[in-house]
Amino acid sequence: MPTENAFRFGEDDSLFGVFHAVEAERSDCAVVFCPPMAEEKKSSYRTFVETARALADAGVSSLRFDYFGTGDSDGHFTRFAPGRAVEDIAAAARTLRERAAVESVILLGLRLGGTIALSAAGRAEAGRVLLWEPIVSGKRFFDLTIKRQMMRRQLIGGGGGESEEGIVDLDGYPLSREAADEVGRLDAVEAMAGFDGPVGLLQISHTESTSRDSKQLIDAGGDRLAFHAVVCQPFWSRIDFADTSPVIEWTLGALGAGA
Amino acid sequence: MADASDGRIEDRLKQMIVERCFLDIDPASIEENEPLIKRRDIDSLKLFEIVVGTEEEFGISVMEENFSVDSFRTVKEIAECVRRHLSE
Repeated sequence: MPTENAFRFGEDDSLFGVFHAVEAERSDCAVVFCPPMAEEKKSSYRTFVETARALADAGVSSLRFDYFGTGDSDGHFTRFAPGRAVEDIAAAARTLRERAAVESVILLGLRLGGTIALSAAGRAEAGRVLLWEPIVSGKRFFDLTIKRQMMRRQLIGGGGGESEEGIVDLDGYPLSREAADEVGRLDAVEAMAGFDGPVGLLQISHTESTSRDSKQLIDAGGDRLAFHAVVCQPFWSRIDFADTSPVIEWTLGALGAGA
Repeated sequence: MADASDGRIEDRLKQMIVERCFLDIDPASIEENEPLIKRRDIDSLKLFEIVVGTEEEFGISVMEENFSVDSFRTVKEIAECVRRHLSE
């Protein structure tokens, strides 16, 4: 029977993770979940849990964890930064490789977590990367988040937007100016060029038509990229429940762990 | 992205709203003057989807410095906003 163990790892045990262990590995790989950022992380939490449990039922171990400065890991949010998150993913991959006793670790990232996972793939010696609707341009993500914040304030008020010096208010989250600049420089197409392993890309949107962002990644990934589109609510930006079973089913299939 | 002259703006907006917000309704059932937020349970996140969808559908940029959600309360108002940007 699969078990779930919370533990700490990484430098000074500063990172928090949950290891989804299986009784007997039926796969030669294990999965590190790379979460998105800020509000999107909160809204996608349950889907990560459900996917990890579905993988465990299919004999695939996994590790869910929080980047430094987020969730249960150490550090204030102002110390979160994509560059540090890359190191955290590499530490998570090393830890999972030991715990699950597998050769190959696969990185699975959602939104900004996908973009960071792609950047971390080489350092983490990942066998493969699975991307769930990744952010292609960090700058566009940042701009849209600021605009969404502006719109919400117009609708419901609150949040004056005044920040301490050196801090950027990103939808209520205090991001350091340096981290904000790093996010703005993230580029999934560029990161794709830095990883020569196989990539699975799942487009999650209101339509199966290939989006402009997906097309860019398909072109950049070439033959080593497998693309699929599912019609599913953008659960990472929903407050209410969203049925994410198509996302979980695709993931199981992509890992050869489907029914 | 469809051509700006491809179909009536209001009809394209209704179709886009139903798809983007995953509304289980006939797009034609949306009245052009109805308040979307109240009538269709549109929260700020879904309204943002509508704004982004409008930009992508018509190839325009509406989220500028002077952007106001007041121009996105009804299909009629969104259509006026689209026409204004298309004529610029």
